[in-house]
Amino acid sequence: MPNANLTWYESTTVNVGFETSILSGLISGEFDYFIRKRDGLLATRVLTLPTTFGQSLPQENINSDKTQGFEIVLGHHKKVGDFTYDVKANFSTTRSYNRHVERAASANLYDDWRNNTNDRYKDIQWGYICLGQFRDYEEILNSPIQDGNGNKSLLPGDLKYQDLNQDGIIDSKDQQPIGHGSTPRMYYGLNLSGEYKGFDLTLFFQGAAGHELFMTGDFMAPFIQQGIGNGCTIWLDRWHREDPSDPNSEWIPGYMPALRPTGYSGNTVNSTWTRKKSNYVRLKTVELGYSFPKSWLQRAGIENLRVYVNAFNVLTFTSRDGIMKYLDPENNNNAFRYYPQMKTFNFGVNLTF
Amino acid sequence: MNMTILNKIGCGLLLLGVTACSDYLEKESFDIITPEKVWKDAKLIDAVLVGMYYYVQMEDFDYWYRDAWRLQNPSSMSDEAQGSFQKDPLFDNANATYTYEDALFEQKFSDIYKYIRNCNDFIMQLETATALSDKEKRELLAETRFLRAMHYFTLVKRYGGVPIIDRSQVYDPDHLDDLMVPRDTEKAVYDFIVSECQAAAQDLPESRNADGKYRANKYVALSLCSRAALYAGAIARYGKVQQEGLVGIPASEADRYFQLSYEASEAIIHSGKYALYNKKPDNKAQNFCDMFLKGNGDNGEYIFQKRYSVAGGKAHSWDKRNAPFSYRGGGWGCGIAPTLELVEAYEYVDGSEGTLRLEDENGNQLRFDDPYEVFANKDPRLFASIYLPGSPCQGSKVEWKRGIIVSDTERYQATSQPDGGNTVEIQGVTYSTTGKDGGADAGDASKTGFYQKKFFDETLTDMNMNKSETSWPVFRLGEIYLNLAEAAMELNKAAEALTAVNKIRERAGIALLSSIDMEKIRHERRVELAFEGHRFWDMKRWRIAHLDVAQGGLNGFRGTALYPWFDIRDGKYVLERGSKSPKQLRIFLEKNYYTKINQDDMKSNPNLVQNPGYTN
Repeated sequence: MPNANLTWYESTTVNVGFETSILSGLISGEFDYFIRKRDGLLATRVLTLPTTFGQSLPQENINSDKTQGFEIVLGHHKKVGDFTYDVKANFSTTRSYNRHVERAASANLYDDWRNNTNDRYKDIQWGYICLGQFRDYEEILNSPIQDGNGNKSLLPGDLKYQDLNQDGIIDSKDQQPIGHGSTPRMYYGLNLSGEYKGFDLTLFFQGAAGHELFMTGDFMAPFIQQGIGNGCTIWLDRWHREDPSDPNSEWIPGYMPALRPTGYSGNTVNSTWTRKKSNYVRLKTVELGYSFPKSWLQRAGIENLRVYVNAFNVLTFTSRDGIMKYLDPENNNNAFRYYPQMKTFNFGVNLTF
Repeated sequence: MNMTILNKIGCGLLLLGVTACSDYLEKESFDIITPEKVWKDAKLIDAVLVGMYYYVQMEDFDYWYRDAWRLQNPSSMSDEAQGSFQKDPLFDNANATYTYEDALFEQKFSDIYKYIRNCNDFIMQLETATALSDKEKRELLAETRFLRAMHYFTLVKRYGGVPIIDRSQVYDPDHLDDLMVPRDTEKAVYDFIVSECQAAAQDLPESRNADGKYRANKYVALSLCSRAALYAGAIARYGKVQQEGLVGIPASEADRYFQLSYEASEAIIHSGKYALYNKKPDNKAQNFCDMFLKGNGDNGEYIFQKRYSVAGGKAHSWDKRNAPFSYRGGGWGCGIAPTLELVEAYEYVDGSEGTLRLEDENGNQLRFDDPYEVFANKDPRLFASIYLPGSPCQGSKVEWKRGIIVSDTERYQATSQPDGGNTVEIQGVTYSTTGKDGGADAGDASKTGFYQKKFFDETLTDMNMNKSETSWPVFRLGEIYLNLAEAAMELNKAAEALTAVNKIRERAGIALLSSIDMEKIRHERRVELAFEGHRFWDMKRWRIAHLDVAQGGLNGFRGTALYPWFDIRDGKYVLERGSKSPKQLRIFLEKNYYTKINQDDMKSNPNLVQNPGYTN
């Protein structure tokens, strides 16, 4: 069925801010606060037409959302004798909310809490709360059923989840909001630059925070590609029996759960254990250069000569929690199939005739 | 100064240019044909209508329930045949049972009503089309009504009464309840189909020129009327009314429907436009076979056919899926295997009953040089419809052997697919225990000893998917004669029934009947229309499917095989009946006469009532 009224969505933005710079740049600042509301996002109305109608409903402009946030930039510029320096720091944060989301009426209060995304943040991640790793079989058999089979497939080292509704079974009804999704909520950066007698130095830091990655992909299968691929070294630190060929030997604790060739799906669900904070600050650029004095160059007819050396992505500061040691926090792929950013070192010459 | 004036002139020109192109943003689309264009152009209107034929369910070569590898089509679901794959769902140890699925051959409302709506929309917009003359409009209207009637026939065969929607519903969010139409009675739907066909027959041309040769014409519409009214009559006479008429038709209506069917069949036969194919009267088996061959769709007997073309991009895969084992190309093959029951249904040329003579009067097994000899003097149509052990095919013979007999107590049976060894060494001589086209109860080859010949293209060399071009007959004159015979018999016009059946038998090359009864007519229908998708629906409408197999029903049916054994002592074959072919025993319940209405359809319309015997 066509929708003759189909049109673009409308976006209304309010932006309030101010800029200031005093004392000839000694202190400068900017502040912006914005709200953007969008109306008329496309969605299909939830009514079901009888199948004898012969057509399905078209998209209509009925959904809406809101995004708001603010940004601050602070700067400082000073000249002390021959030394000039600049500092500029910025910080911004944004959050999106759904306003109207077309959906069928909730069947009950639980359905409403779990699935009704109207007037909620967009980036809520649901998962289980992990209470720790099972220490021994006693604990496994006395815990709520996690695998739909009397916990018979669990091993020490597997993740133990909280039974939210206390019904003795761990299933989707035990999920709670535990995270924010993989898009950062905050971005920040710092620009430092200085100049002294022909030398110039620039440092640029940048980072993001407020997001999490859920480790549900390749890392949770010790041998990727359904058990025939390569193994990841992080699995060397795992729960295992002291003597693998002796079924009665002691279990030795480790970071990763016990080994099964293709991994165990019960350990890869979204939970507070698989949730890794990926806040980071990275020294993106550092550049040191030297401009030869003009007096030397004039004789050679050169207007400007500068030699420099720079590096990209030299330092990264991030949460050292478990798996994040090995990974690039700028990746947003859950399976971590992301080629890490490279550190690059350059040197060069700027020559102007 | 000059620059300012120039600037002003420049700006002025610019403005002029901008205002002149006010429709600059209106673009014509080159990849969508809009309704405005269609209804002004006779060719486009034609194109849209012809496109609508594609969606009519003609239950042709590609009609399988769910997936093709399950081999569930109207042939294998009746007592005509079984599927052969080792992986099809009915293949199991012979001790298990198969219950006919609730949803067998279902056609969800969400699928069919889409096409019905297309027909309704087309009819509505046709009224206002300017590109056509009134006569042309009437013809196209009739053609669309025929297509719509075909859709409703597809629905009523399966579900009984369904909502009759003959005008596109309008979406009004404030009156959604108006859209929730309840089911009409089965009688109302059949009446609708019959009246639509009769109205269409008034306006459709009697025949068309080469361009539109395969489109519906007057006699096509009458054929649907003949078949639909016959079905309605049988349901009225043999069925029972349930759910206040939603399923079943009151018995008092039977005669009226038979009369309608009778008149439609008469009109087609007496038009003289079609004739029973009889190009080779001295080789009746070849004659019957020829009619169904690829490229022979214009045989004068087909009234309405679905045509295929590899070059045109629409071909089917019947040959790939059904080639006898040694004639396959690249796997698959061996799909539909006819049962011994059907083989024995074919009478002998002298009109005697068709049971195969495997033993002499004293009970000793008859010995044959070739299993093919046991079929001597059978109805020529048998040789055209089924590959028997020893039948010629592509220059060689189809060979199906169960095993070898070494002595009265020692025999060896084929144990795996024909390409899997199956040899045994007796006193230094190696014998093969299987025929090249089958013998074992394992693998893909036929388990009954027979393969379907009707529609198989022996000339096809490219055995890949979608290379078959044999036409599928939707309506042919043979069926019309049989419809006439049945309707006449039900109306106590035995003489006319006898004449009609004898016409069929005369073309077939078998002795004519001197007297007629219902059983004989049904029997003739079974052997003449084998593998054309009739038997399953016939067994349903006569309400014999739920009977026990001994009474001619499907309950407890498995499908008997014929096992040729080669005796190495005298080099001759003996034949035995195999009642334990590796297929599950079938169970057909009364509720299976009507298909269960799909969950999605039921949920979307609370005014629908489910068919009897099914819980939602």
